[in-house]
Amino acid sequence: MPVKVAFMQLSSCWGCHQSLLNAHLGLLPILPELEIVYWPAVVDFKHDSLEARPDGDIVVGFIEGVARTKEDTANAKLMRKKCAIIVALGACACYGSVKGLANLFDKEELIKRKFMETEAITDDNPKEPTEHVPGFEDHIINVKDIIDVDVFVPGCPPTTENILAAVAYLLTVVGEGPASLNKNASVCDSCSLLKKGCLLDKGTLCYGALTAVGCEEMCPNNDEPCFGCFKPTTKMGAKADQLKGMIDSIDVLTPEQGASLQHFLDLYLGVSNITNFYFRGDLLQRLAYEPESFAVKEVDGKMVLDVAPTGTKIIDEIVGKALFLLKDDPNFKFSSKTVCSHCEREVADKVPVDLKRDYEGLPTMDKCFLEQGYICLGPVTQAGCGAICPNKANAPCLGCYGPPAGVKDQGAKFISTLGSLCAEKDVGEIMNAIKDPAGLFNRFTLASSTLGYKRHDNMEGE
Amino acid sequence: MVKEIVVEPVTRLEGHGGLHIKIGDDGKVQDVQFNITSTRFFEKFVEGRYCEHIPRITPRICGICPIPHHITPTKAVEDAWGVQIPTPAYKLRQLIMNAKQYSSHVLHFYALAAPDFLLGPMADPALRNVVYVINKMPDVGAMALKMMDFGQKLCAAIGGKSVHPISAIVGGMKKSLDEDVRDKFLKVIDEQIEFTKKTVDIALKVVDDYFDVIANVGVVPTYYFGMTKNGVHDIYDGDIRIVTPDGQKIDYDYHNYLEALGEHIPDHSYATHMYYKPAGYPEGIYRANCLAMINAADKMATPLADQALKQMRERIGDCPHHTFAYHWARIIETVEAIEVIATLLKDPDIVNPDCKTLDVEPKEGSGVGMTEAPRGTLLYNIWSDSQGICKKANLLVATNHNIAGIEKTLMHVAKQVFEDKALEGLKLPDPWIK
Repeated sequence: MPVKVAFMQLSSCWGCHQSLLNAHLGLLPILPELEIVYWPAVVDFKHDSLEARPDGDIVVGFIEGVARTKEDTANAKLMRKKCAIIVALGACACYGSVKGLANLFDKEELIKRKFMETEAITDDNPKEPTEHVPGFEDHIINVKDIIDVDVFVPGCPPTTENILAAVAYLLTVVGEGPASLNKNASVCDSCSLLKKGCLLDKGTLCYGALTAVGCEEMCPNNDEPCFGCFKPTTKMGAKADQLKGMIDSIDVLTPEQGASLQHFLDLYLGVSNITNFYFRGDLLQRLAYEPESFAVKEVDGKMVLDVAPTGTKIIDEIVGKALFLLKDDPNFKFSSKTVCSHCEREVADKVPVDLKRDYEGLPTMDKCFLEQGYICLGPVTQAGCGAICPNKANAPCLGCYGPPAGVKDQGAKFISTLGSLCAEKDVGEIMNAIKDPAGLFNRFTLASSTLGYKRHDNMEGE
Repeated sequence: MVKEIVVEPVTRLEGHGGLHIKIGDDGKVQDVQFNITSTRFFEKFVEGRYCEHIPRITPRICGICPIPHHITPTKAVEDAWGVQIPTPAYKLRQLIMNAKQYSSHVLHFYALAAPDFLLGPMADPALRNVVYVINKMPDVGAMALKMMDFGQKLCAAIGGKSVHPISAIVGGMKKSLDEDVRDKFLKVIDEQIEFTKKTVDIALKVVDDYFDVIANVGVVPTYYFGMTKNGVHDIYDGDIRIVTPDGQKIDYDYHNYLEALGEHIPDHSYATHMYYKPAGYPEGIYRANCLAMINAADKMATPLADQALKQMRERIGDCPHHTFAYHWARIIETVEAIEVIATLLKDPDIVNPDCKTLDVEPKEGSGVGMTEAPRGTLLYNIWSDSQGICKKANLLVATNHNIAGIEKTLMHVAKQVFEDKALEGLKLPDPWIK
């Protein structure tokens, strides 16, 4: 059965959609899997047909763009109502992208320049258009500040490969899973170790009791613990309580225990092997990206993070406890690489020369841009693009994939990176050399940065 | 009772548009509005940015045509700072512009326009789309996808990325093509030329099938705004050419664009209404984009395209006002694009690494850059301060040049449809896809 999908464009350029279409012949196997119920640039369904759909009727809704107009805000809300999963597709929907730079100005300044001041205008008394147009929001608003977003696919645009991977993954999430999958049984039910000697009895964490069956070769049959890759079962195995007891009794994780829990959560609830987008349902990713988004609660005297990924009490408590332990575990490392990890240039450890503007000279292809004096946001930018700009175009990274996991403000992080790279230089000199820090360091993330948006110059009385 | 017809949104275009048509008791069309409901204020928020970084911001104006939005501001800053670029850079830019022209025109013809013709205008709206066309005509679909893929991959090879390229820099290009990459494109260029010829055949068959529609619906005399280089069709470099409704051609140095172009702020659209200033508004409303380019050109730049242009002119005249001839003009431009690509790929300058001048210094002043984007002439005016920071910018973007012309055409067609019942007598062919 094809999956119902909708594509909504808020204020944006359609580049993310174009990046999807750039798959060209690669689209042919995917198109039959999709029932496209809304995509104005491609199919002829009108807005009222989207409004008329039952709530939650559409499985995956892709949103490109930010809220510049009131119509954008309303359309984001409409999509949330109609779609089970909302994907923020691209830098605009994730962080605001370059449109966020408008937040450096008042709405009135923007309107004045466009509708009253530009040089070709000939009207005597030009005004902001108001008829059959939606009106503007005071500033650029991120989609995630209007509605709950389930998946973030960053990039301006995300590469074709990234988008296809996200689509393919989402199709497996909503699909039936492999034919062998049986959610009404657990790995324990057919485990050969149950009689010979359960791994739990030997003190090794094994998650078979929580896991559905259907894998070709069960790991415990080879004396290896089950890490849950066949996802949650609805019928707990015999050893579920014993496993819970073991995890509940942990106060401080040993490195082995931490690695085990992390591996389990990754396979059990995670977006395994696809790390180029942020899926909030992957609680490990969420722990890395937004640790403060979890509430802590007490269950039977134990502190756990308040999560309910499955709706099954025992599983949710085990996961909550595991996340609680990992949250403060110094060994918890969520692999979030930066663009540098895919850059073919020789790495810099300092910036020995004066900072250059990009029109100056021509950088060589073999050396790090920063080392050559050019501003490059690679060190503070989420990997996923394959470092196209430095590798293929001899151009520095502009930061379009946004900050890596755990970094709140890409611009602030870059300033601190630059500070440590330029440690031997005078701070005032560096500050003088950079005339437009917001435009250079927060080009794609200003709307979601700590800078936010311009308030009135005169703050009195506010 | 005034009857109001609302189309929300207008589909199979990129962007946000709606349509409001008011029809009075007497059956007369009172008003037609083409409402563009989004704008993002790029002209304001590029203020304060480094001038050389504007070409890395403005491609986000359009994901279908980011190449011209990358190249044109680069030209404008070079104009402001008085920078001359090396010949290899000039040719690389020509090549990427034509690669974009090729993929965008093919996308427009097959994905946006063809469903109307192949399924017929009366087909079920739920099926009238490119997905269905690919399903029903897999060979044509695969060919169209291969053509778009070629253009987009060539854009990516030169620009780093096809969507939001990064390789143009004030002073030239960051990098020339690698020889092995160039060779991959050369290997399939003949196949692409064949595909283009097949596309011409399909387009001419559509022209024959729908000639009654082309010749009778939406034939609207307007001015045209295009670009030529000494009268020859050129999408990278040239000057403004205005064509009057009776076919007279008037040339302007593009630096003097304010002499030719006026802008009216309508009350019902965020995209503004452009017009030919000396003729006044609304008399001077013009159209841009491929038909305007074809009407402006004395001749095409390449032989096959020029032959195709002559063929069109023999059939519908030297300055046709037929709105449906836009599709025809687009095909002629597609032919030129692939011919230019074929020539440039064989040019050794394309792989010459000497593609960036070192002689670049910011200078205070105003600079103008102009190119032809796939949906109209694109003009950037950038004011730099002495340190190369943008003080002010004026962006006259491609589609915006067409808004007033589209609304004028819609009014004409609405009258034909609702007052003259013109559709009833039209000869329509059997749809190719039933």
